[in-house]
Amino acid sequence: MLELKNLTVHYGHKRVVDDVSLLLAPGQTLGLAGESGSGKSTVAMSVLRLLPRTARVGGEILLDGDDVRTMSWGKLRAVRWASASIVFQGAMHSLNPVRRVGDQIAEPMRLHGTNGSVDELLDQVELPKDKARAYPHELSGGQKQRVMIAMALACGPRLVIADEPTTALDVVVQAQVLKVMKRLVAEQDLGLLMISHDLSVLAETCDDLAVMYRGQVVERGSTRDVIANPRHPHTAALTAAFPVIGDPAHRWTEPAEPSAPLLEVREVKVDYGRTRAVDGVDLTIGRGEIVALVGQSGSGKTTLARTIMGLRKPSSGRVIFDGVEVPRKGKALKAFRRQVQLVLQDPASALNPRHKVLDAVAEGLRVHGIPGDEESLVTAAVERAELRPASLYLEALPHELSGGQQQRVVIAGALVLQPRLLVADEPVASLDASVRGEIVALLLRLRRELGLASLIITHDLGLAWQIADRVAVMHQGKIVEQGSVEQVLLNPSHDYTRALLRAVPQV
Amino acid sequence: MRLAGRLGGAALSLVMVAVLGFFLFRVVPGDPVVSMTRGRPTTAAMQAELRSQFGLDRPLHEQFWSYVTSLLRGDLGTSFTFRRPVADVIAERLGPTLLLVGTSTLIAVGLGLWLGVRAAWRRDSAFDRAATGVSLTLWAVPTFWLGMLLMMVTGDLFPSRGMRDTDTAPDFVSQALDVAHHLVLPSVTLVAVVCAEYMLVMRSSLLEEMHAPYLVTARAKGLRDDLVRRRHAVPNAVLPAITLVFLRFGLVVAGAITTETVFSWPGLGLLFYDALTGPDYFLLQGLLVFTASAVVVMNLLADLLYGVLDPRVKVV
Repeated sequence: MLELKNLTVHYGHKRVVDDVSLLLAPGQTLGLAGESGSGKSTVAMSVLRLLPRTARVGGEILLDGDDVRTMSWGKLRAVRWASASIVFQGAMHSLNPVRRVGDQIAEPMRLHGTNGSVDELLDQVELPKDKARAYPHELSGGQKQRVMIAMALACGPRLVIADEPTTALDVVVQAQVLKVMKRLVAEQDLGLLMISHDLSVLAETCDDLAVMYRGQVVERGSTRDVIANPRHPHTAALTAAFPVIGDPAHRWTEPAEPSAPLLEVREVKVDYGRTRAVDGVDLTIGRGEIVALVGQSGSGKTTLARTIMGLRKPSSGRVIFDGVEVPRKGKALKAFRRQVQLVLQDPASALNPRHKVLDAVAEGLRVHGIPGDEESLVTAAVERAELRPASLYLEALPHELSGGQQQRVVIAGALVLQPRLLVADEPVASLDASVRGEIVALLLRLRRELGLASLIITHDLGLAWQIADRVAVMHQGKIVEQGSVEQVLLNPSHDYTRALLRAVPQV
Repeated sequence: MRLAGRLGGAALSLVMVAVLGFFLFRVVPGDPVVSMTRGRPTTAAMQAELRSQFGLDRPLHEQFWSYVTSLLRGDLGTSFTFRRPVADVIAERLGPTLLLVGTSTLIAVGLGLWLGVRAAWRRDSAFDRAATGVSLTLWAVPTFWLGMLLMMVTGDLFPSRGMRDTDTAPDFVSQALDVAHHLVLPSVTLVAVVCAEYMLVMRSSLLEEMHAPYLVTARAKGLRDDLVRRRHAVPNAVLPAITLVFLRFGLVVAGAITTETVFSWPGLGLLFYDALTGPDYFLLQGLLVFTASAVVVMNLLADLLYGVLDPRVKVV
């Protein structure tokens, strides 16, 4: 059905895809794994000739025997979506924000003259009919992804390409979306080419697996084989990067001594208008302790973090830091904020694209008016974050750095103020598998060397297993379970914790 | 709720405009009566007479009170130069201004948005470079200079003064043709100058949308290039331009001071010029309140329309 023969793609002199040959038969499911920049998405886009004009494509792309590369525009338009369709990452802006999703699903059907009804398609992806009248912003991430799937099936294609279809969804929603995809692929005997950086997601859905690295397919085989016996070192690195909950080898943190509490949250409630986002939370973080706060999006994790940092006033309850209630305003609040620093998920948007590393890291010093030699303080912080030698990086702009380096800059910006507590909101979620491990190791090293306590907010239970001493599970504004990592993740006592653990895709 | 907020905000702006209108002309240095009668032989008695006629001899709070009460009745005071109610003078000049500036704005909006879309869609093409270059040049050129240049270049082809000839037959068709004939030069001048702004805003807004993932989705569905543009890209890209267009509509009633002055078009712009040269304080105050109110109202309309065009913004 789909055959790629010696596909190469160049941008200028840069070879992004290098001699890739793949074969996909009807009803077959093939996963394409790789990190950002490995060329996997370029392969996907080339199948429907969707690459930008600047791309030079060589080799053959045979879709039902016809070469997509040399097709006339008219033929190409007829083939697009009718023979093969793509499930894009719906949580991003792959849906037109100003048009109703029903119209967007119906559009290819009208265009290609396919019979079918939007209602039926929505039903297949388990969405209520009336969602057809919704605009994308009115839907949750999971619902948008279902709309993308319904749209992809609109013209009854034999091949569906899914490009990171569940990235940016939380575990529970991801499990639901994957279930829908698996069911539809089996029912309709579709060919599926699924692209992801997450091996566990591919393991859930695909029979076969191809691993891409620097534009080349370095390994190909049945999913089970590839993951169990990786032959290429890159595949081995990818499989190792995803922690297996319960596996002592993936538990990187060393047990912390019980210590005096650094931060105490007592009976905190936070309301947004009439919605109660945080509903009576008690949480303690000891000195030098790493606590993971896990839960789905919308569970109130981020609101709780903002309240802890003094960015939002609790409606009731108290936040106590180092024995003193967190001040609500003035100089005292500023002094408190210096001790609690934030690390955000996406370093690319957390850093001002026009600020050099030096300025980005020094900003905190300037805001707090900290005396001393700015450059030497910044250098120390940057080296603490393992960007060595610092002099190589101080003058760099964020876009000149890799994702992992950017996240280190963000961490350096926090460290320069010598905080005692780091609040990290999904610190590794947008990083590649290989970089992710390095950042986790860095956070652990900071704890060991500086006694820095952390609150890690995440929906990734694997991360909690890797790094945390204790886990608190948050659901609908309440902490439903908390305790040591082993206790909560291996012997969960609450149904919701069990549901979360069940949703984690297994390699 | 949101609607009430917007209406309340607009109402507050209107009140501030009214208050500002009053005090702005009370804090101008110098005696208004002296400046109004400058260059004319006046006696102290005549000046006192004028002062009491305009109520300028009364305490400030009394003046303000009578200003507010008459404003509520739609009375903007009396013009010193025209010796008629300011409201009547403005009403008389509103028609020609709406005709000239309204027509030009509509043409400029249509042309500018169209050019902007075409230029952005084929970025760096010859069309894009030409359109952007010409627009920037015209935008940079002083309006009065462009107007005078047009007069010189076109020679006697189009009339260059006023709105109609005195000797035109009184029937409707001849009158309309005559006005249209007079309209050509000033409106071409205005379009040339204003169009660039819409074009550049539309162009940059569409360029921002060009890399949006939903356009890839649309292409993957098999849509033709022009459908991708019309159905998906433009409806999103036009949103930022809407605010600008409506802000401009608000300024339509202010007329185009330079253009109307250069072509002696009997609209509000020329009236502004005359009121400034007077100086006719009450007329200026009335014009200020009137045009500022128009901007506030148009801004409100833009907000409301935005809510209709962009489902993410819920106004009502």
